[in-house]
Amino acid sequence: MTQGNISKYATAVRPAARETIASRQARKPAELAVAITRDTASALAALEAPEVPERVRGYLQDIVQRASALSQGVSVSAAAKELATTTQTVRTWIERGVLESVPNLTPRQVTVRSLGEVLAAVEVIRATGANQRVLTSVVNALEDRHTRDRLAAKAAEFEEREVFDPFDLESIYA
Amino acid sequence: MAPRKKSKDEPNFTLTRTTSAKVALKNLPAQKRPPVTARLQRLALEGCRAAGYALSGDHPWPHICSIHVGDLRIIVVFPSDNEVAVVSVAAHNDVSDPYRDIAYALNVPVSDAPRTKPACCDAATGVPPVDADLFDRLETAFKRLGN
Repeated sequence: MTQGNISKYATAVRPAARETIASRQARKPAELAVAITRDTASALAALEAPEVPERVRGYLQDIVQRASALSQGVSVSAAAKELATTTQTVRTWIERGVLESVPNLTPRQVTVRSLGEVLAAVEVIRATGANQRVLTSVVNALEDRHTRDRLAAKAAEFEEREVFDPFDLESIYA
Repeated sequence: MAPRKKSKDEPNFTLTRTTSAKVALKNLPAQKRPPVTARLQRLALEGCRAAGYALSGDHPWPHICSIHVGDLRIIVVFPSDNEVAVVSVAAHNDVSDPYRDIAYALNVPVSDAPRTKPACCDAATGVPPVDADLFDRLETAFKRLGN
């Protein structure tokens, strides 16, 4: 690993380590979800760094996987605060599939995993001082990727077609 | 033995469906089921004549037909003359766009052709817009997206 890469790697991983401590200190479920979102964003950003040692990579991936398994979400208002945007923008991003909402929950909550992913992308864009157009491009790319992931999950469903009898209600709706 | 006389309600077409369509039908709210059932039965009896309109645009769009049932779209293709394959049963609204999903899967642009909504059957011959490969293309496309 070169000196430059070590420096880049350390810069990327340090916030992940710091935020993990923050999430341990959080007490309320909502606070914990926000803290884990920050962990996830930092971990995802760190995973982008070149030459991350395998052991650390595994640790970072564990953070992301734990976020994926979390049933607690982040409220729309808290998500807007994290993203430094409006609640309306968060709702629009949910409807476009950029952010994922926790199923069957009212009021809506955003999944920690998807918010962490968007937060990581948005922070990188803002850190580079890029303009709104670049941010829009990133949001579009995330929307495309989520559409692709959703369709990929359906892939097996499209592989087989079965005969059914439309005159037998059980056959149609079973 | 004389051949059995065909009942007027005996299906003339075999209906098949994807697992995705099966799941969508299973999850359909009770109040939406009667009109959907009626449309599926008509499909089995009348084939493309009951298949709404053909989508507009370049290939493969004209080989895909769409039936409106409220905000639902029953999207069908024709692997052969006597088979109607239900590809998708989904709402078309601000959140869900089954046409976009198909465009994405097939890596073709969402059609921006004028929506003339021609009948699903060929106007001159009355035959369905058969495309034996389209279902397979969808299958392959979805597999590729999974890689």
